[in-house]
Amino acid sequence: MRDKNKIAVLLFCLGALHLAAIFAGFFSPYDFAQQDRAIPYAPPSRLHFRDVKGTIHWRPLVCLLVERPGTFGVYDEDLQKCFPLRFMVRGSEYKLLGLFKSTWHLFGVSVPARVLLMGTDNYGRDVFSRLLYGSQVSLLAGLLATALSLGIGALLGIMAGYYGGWIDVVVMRCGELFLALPWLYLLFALRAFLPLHINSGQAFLLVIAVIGTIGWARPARLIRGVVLSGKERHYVLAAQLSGGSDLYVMRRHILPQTWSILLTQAALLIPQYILAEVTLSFLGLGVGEPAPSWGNMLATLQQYSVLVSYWWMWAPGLAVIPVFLGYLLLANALQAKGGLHRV
Amino acid sequence: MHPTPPPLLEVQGLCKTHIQARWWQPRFCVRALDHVNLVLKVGNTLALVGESGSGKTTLAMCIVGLERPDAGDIRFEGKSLLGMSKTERNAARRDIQLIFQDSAGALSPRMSAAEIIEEPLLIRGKWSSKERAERVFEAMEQVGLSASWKDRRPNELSGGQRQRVAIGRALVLKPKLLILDEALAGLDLSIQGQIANLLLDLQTSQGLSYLFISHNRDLVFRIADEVAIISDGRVIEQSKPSGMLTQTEHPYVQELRPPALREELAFDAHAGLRDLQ
Amino acid sequence: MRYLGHRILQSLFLLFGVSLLSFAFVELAPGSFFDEIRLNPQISSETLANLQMQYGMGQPLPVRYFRWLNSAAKGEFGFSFAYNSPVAPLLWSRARNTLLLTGLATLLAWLVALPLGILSAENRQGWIDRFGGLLTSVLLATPDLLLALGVLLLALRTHWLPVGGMLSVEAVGHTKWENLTSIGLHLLGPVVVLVLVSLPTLTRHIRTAMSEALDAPYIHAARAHGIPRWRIVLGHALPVAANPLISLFGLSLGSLLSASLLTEVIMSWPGLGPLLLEAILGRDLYVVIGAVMCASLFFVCGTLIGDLLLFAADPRIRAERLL
Repeated sequence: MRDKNKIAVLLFCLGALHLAAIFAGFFSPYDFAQQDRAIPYAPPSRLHFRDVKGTIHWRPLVCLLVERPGTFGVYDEDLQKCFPLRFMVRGSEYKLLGLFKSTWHLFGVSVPARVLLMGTDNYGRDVFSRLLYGSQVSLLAGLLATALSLGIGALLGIMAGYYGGWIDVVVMRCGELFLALPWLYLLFALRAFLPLHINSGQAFLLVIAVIGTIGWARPARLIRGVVLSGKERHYVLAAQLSGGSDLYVMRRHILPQTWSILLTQAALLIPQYILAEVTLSFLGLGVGEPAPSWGNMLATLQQYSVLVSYWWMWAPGLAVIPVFLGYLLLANALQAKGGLHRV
Repeated sequence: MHPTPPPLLEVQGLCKTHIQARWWQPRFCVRALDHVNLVLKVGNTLALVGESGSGKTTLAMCIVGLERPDAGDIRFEGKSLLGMSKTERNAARRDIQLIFQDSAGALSPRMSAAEIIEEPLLIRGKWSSKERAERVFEAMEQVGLSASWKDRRPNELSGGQRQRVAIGRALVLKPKLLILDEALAGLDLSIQGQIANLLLDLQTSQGLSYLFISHNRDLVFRIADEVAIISDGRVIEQSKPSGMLTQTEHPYVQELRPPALREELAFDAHAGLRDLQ
Repeated sequence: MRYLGHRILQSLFLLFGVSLLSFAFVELAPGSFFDEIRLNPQISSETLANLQMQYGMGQPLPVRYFRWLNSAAKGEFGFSFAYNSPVAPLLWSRARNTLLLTGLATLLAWLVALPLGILSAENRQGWIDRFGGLLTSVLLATPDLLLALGVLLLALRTHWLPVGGMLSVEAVGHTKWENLTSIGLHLLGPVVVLVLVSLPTLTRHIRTAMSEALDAPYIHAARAHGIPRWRIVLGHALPVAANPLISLFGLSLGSLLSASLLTEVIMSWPGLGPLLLEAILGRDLYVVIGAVMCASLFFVCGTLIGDLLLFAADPRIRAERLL
């Protein structure tokens, strides 16, 4: 496939994934905090196309789950109480983009059955719904942290490259400091020195701030390189000769030269930062209960019993793979287009 | 005979040394300019001839203010450029413009021809959008660019057209002095001739003065009113071309004597052509 | 020799900078180890004040920093509140384990990646290359978190490998040899994870370096002369590719530390990782600083070794530096 087509296809796929995240409230049948203590760790619902009497329905049926008496955690389906899967149902209220209230859900099933596409967790919460809501947290954290890193990196890189002198020396030395350390240790250290017990909203912002502040060094170095050669271009000199201020020249002529590097770095950094958020939340240093994040959802897997027995709890981990793959291929395609070697 | 007006540009005793030093290396000095003296009169074309590395470009950079000389003075219209305050220097920058050699590098690949020519007006910020458009149109006419090309990018233009855009950009602020740093090098001979003619026409119509830097002696002897020869950072001579050819004994200048004019080259006869036959 | 001195000086400055940075953040850290104690009604405020003075918490930052430097010079590196002992011994025992894990994993990863990369470069678009490319892409897209969990699951399900800790519970009374095999078995899981984590990037870089070396004109000339293929690859192309690969070696040594942190925590290998996490959750700040400094030290040493190896191996670099 030609490079441009490759990039377009990848952007489309990634866009679709992110769209699903934005409309998490619509695509998920239940609220992320909705508990059902009667069915903890229930396996994913089976969709029956044939009911007890043998007739075939075009809409699959979901049956009620009951705990097998005398056991703990083993469920049977009550085949007498099956309900069809309905589309465009009204359900719990959610806020779209944090602004618009809505109660529409793509699909759902009448009470008391629950359609659990990916089973439930230890509180009986629907894993599929939590997966979608969690994607909002993890994906957004990655995007915002990347924006922060690139913003800081671009600013410092352009200033270091354009002005040179002591600004250059200071920025590069500081950058070396940040690059000289294993990033996860640095991340943890920074996180360690900040409040531990904070609510989910604050934790989210904190995580973004911490991750974003650490990763500025490499983009800054690359951008500085581009600026060093770019500021000598004659059209930059011509603009300076016409009386252009430094700010004007940086904005109008230097910054556009950095776009391609910024894009490639973004495609490389976003998955790393998503992973950073997932790791932090996994270890309890990031976003905590009850807000779902792919990280804290995976945290239950640290218990051996859950790890071995309840395979649907792996869902957030498996969801990460296509996202990563998408960004990886995008980064490769962008670098190929820019003529750089694969990094 | 009218009284001689004061010189437009006067360079006196200009010195500049490039120092390359790393702490583990011995100091490495290059004398780019060594007590350079030049005089350019209003409405004239002063050609600066020398080999590569003789300091021509450094001199141009010092005059426009992109580099600061270590010693000496540059006087423009009688006032010292180096002693000016920031606002005065900004105003003076309007009057001195520089045209580079590589037209492709001198024009931003992301902007159209009209945008490039308009940019100095935008920077100065004193004109309305309508006024800017008028001036751009005017500039394009002066340099012989058809208005239909205003949306073309530099990579869609030929070398000669790009230089016209560069000249147009330089003209739009109505300068008094144009410094042409090897501006015609790299162009086809016939295009060189066209641009040279354009420059000469503009000189008469706009009252411009040129500092024409080149190592192309044919061109220089055709269009220059005076020629200055620079070698290893020193100006060896400055005089009229005819005088230089007949009266000098300096070996380098003798090297510069052009071969006999070739009749095939279709150059318009012009007052700048001296009696070289 | 001057180069060596220059690089060591640079590294020392770096470590110094890291310690300053860490200490700067200590000042910002709200909440301290003593918050938990404060909540305990049985302990009087007097005891608390005494404790704080003992640990020097009341003093301003620069004083505390110098006290820490002092303690570092003495070989103690501060004091752990939780373990009630100097930080250094704690660090040392854990750091040994992390070094063991990371060092072994790096070695193993290179042993696998080198032939894979060379074969891929030599036979571009061949089946090894395509298969290897697919494998590395999938591995690259799988976060190390998942890889660690996956290996853990495998170990639990199949009972092939013991999980948790370094020695089995029945270690007391075993012979040295049995202990060693036990350690080795416990080590296997985390090592596999780290190898899988670092394999994709390593293979890619090796492949790129070898491809570039193999594309040189003199290689084609050698081929035309009829020199056997393996000799060309190993004798001519590899030395040229060695240059970027040696610096990569130094880098890979250090960069594996980040992945090892997570792996140690998940697979309960007693290294720096779990120590750091515990210290963060328990607000044992000097341990945090100590662990971070330790990791930085390894990282810096890794790159230093890489640079020195490069310096020794490539005459061009020697010439450039000494100019």
